Amino acid sequence: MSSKKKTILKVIILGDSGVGKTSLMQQFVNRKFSQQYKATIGADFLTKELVIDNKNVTIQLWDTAGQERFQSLGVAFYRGADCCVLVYDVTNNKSYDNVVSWKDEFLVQANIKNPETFPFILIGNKIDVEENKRQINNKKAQQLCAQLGNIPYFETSAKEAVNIDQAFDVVARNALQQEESLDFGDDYTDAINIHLDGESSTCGC
Amino acid sequence: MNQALDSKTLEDSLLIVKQQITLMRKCLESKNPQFMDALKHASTFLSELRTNKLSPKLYYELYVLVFDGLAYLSDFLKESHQTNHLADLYELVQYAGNIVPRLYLMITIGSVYMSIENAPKLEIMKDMLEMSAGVQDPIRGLFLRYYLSQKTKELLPTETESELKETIQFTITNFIEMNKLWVRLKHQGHSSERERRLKERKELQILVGSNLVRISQLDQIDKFYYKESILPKVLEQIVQCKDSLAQEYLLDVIIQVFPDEFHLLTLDDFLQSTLHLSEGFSMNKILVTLINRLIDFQKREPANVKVIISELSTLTLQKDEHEENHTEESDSETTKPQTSSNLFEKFYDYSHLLVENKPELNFKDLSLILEAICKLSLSYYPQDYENINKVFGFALALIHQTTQHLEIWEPLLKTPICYNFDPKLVLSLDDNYKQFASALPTAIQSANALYILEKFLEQDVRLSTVEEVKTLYELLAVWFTSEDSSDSNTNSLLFGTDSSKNEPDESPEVVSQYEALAKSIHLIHHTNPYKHFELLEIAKSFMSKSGSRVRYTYPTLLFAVIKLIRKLTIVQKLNALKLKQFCQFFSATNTELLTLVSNGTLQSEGGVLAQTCMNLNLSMALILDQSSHIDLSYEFFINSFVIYEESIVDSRLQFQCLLSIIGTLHKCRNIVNGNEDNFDVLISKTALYGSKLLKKTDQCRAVYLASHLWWIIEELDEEDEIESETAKTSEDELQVVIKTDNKKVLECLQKSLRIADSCLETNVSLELFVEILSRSLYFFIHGNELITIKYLNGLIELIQNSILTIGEENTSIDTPTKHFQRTLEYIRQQAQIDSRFEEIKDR
Ligand SMILES: Nc1nc2c(ncn2[C@@H]2O[C@H](COP(=O)(O)OP(=O)(O)OP(=O)(O)O)[C@@H](O)[C@H]2O)c(=O)[nH]1
Ligand SMILES: [Mg+2]
Repeated sequence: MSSKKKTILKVIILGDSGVGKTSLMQQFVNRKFSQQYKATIGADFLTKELVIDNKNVTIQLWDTAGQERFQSLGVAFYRGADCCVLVYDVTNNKSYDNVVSWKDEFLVQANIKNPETFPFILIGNKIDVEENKRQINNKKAQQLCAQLGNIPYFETSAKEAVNIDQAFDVVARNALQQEESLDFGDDYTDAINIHLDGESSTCGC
Repeated sequence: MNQALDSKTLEDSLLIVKQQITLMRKCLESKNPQFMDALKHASTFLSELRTNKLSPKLYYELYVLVFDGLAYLSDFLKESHQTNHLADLYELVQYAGNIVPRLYLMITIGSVYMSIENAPKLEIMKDMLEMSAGVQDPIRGLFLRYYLSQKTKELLPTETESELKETIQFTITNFIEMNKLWVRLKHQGHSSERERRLKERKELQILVGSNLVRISQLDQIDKFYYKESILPKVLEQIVQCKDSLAQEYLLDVIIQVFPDEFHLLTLDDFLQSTLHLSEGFSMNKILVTLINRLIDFQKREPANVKVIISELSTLTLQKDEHEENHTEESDSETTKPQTSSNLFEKFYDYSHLLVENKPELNFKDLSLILEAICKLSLSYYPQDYENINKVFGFALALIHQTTQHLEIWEPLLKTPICYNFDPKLVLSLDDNYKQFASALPTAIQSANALYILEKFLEQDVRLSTVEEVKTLYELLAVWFTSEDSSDSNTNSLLFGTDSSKNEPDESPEVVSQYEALAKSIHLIHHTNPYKHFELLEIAKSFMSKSGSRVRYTYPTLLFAVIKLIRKLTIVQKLNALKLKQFCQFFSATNTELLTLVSNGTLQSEGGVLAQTCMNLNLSMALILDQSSHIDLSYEFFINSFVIYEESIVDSRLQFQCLLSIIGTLHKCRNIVNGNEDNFDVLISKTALYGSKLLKKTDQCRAVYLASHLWWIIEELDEEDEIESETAKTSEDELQVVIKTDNKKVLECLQKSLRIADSCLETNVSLELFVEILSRSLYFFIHGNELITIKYLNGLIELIQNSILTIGEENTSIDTPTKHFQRTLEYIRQQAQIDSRFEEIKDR
């Protein structure tokens, strides 16, 4: 038997209400899209098994409520995230403007140790809409990416399944890299030391 | 509980959980997995969840970490279920010592078990649900059940109808149980802790709501199933729990997590149930949320909304027929209000029901609800203006029941104007709206009036019917009845000039209101100028009620009349009879303005207004001359003179007015030709006024300018057609001679020269001399034979002497000297093209 270390990647999806966070996840995990709008309240996750470079991973995607009044318990679930996806709606200026504050909020709440290296991904969703309804063009999006530290950017349509897999592939890879970089962090060593202390007491039972 | 202690407890627990997760993972991930040891570690960290020392938020932090830890256990079990028989394991953990760790482990294993093919899913679900009842502490129980819901969400069976039923049953039961725990928390602990309990309950609400999310995620549920089998159960629980926090929150969740179509279909049920909610329930929040959601739906998918609505009305029809067939049997059921498929009516009828059934509802809530209903109508039925009038009819009835806090109604008042502004709608607002407005404080009415008017001006909305003009001004009624202005009007009329308390100094707000009102006159428009005039008369009938503030609006009104006459003159459709009407209207209005001046209401401002009145009169005189109504024109000139004599007292204004008179007379053509005697009367008077001005300089200038009135020559461009036979050609320039009177011109110039000479200051005289020289040259060029070379030379000599007397270096004459030099330069230039000039001696 070989040591099989199980990898669970935790990914948080953030953005204003109605930008299509739930729809993106549904398209990626269940290959479904619905025109109906069901607002997300609190936080909810979907899991999907993936193989990345011959490695089995479980990706746990946390969908969040864009309407903050629905986060009554706070956002403790940000903790332990391996990647954060920031979503805006290309037909909605305001959602674009809010991306930066979503990122800042995440960094504060998730207690990220190295904010500079933490992987973020930017997604501009709903590119299937008519050109005249589009408010954010590619150039403006690139500006935002640069401002956010040259993070990867994808333009997607959850409705027509455009660029979904490509985007989430990068999400998963970056999350995996992040997870592996943390694995040998202090948490592990700390725990081993204490394990030695605790052994005597747990042995008895 | 102490916060510092709280977080210390949390830190300790988190540390233990982290260590134990690490240990557990080591057991699971080693070459020979030590599963039982792993379970022990899991059990240890799960024991941390037994704490009752943490607030919900902190407990949640612990929970998140535990949840992540248990995910490793689940994953391990999933992969190794061949070796670890899940059914046995499920039994095994039942023997774990403590209930909280035991149930978490049970759910962890149970959910993996459910994911295995051929597992007795329904039994496992049922068992887990029943076992969960073992934890009755609200916070721990809620989190445990939340865990149950999170772990099973992707595994709930929905293939067959009975499976779907079981799944729904499972979720709804969990929901009901969680809601009970949640409500129970309210009664826990000492009463002094109520505040904190409330806060905690608010934090926990999301856990309860998650069950409804779960149901909304079941794609197998369509809107009919939802209406028949889901919503009634959920609503029943919500009504029964008799807890306003729970009711508010859960209804909000229903609105958010189920699709719009579902709400449209079940609107009646939903609204009905809200009538049975506890006191303290915030009705407006829920209704406003619901309506806003429906409005967003309409904005997002207008086409889809149309389809759904029409589908809905066929459904309603069918239902009605269905019900009619059963009226005899189900008499008791028909007490329910009749429902139509019209969304507006549903909400509107409902708002009445609310008032009847919920006497405790306050006016603030009602105003917000009515505002939302207005918006709903404006987005779903933008053409149904009657809806809005209905809403205001209801609002009017409500506002009559109260005199307090009237300002809460302001947003409702503004809604028909600010929400998707449609001038047609605004002009369809009936008495309900106007009466409603007039029941509010004046300041609010006034602000609203300005708001309306600015919208109309912004969009340049044309008013072209009597109705439209009337309606707009009725909406601005507050400006035409305001106490202070009508007061000052009667006061000043009654008591004449004693107006010490009628300070005309207006606040900037008032000025901007009436300026906007003046601009509104430009919105009035009709292609038929006579109809247009009638509209102006109506406008005036409103404006006239604003006391002394008519001074802001009447001038614009008069100007509009002048414009109409000009228009009619151009198209040569000016009817003499109608013109009389125009003139009467004009004079009457002008007189009213002048009354304000003469009775002193306006104090110092009066002079400027009188000047405006005079100028308007002059414009009228001119346009009448141009339209060949020379008698009328003469009358208006005479009127202007009366104003000049009676109302212009300030010498500076007198001079300005005189310039206007001269300028206007100089432009007249028909009166000169048609009735030269009259014209002569006018210009002689003008010259006389000039000579009577207070300041010598003004006198002198007015008189030499008046000289031009006896010498009117029109120079034509090449393109102009010459109608008159009097056209002469001089050189290659074309001119039409209107009036030339050599003698009178000379008289004027001589007179102004005498006045100039009589000035005490020689430098002032000099300046005037030079100006007179310029004038004289003009007449010389244009052939006035009495202005001779000799005359000019005389003037030049006079000027040169006067410069010598004062002394060339004296700086006080710099300007006139320069002017003189330029004039001489001009003479030299003229000499090159006109030999007559050679005789003028320039030195
Ligand atoms: N045309 C189009 N519509 C989309 C797309 N993605 C989502 N939508 C629609 O946008 C609406 C909102 O989508 P959601 O996925 O629920 O948005 P969300 O970000 O999860 O919103 P919250 O849960 O409130 O934070 C729904 O009506 C979707 O059908 C897309 O790519 N194209
Ligand atoms: Mg969502």
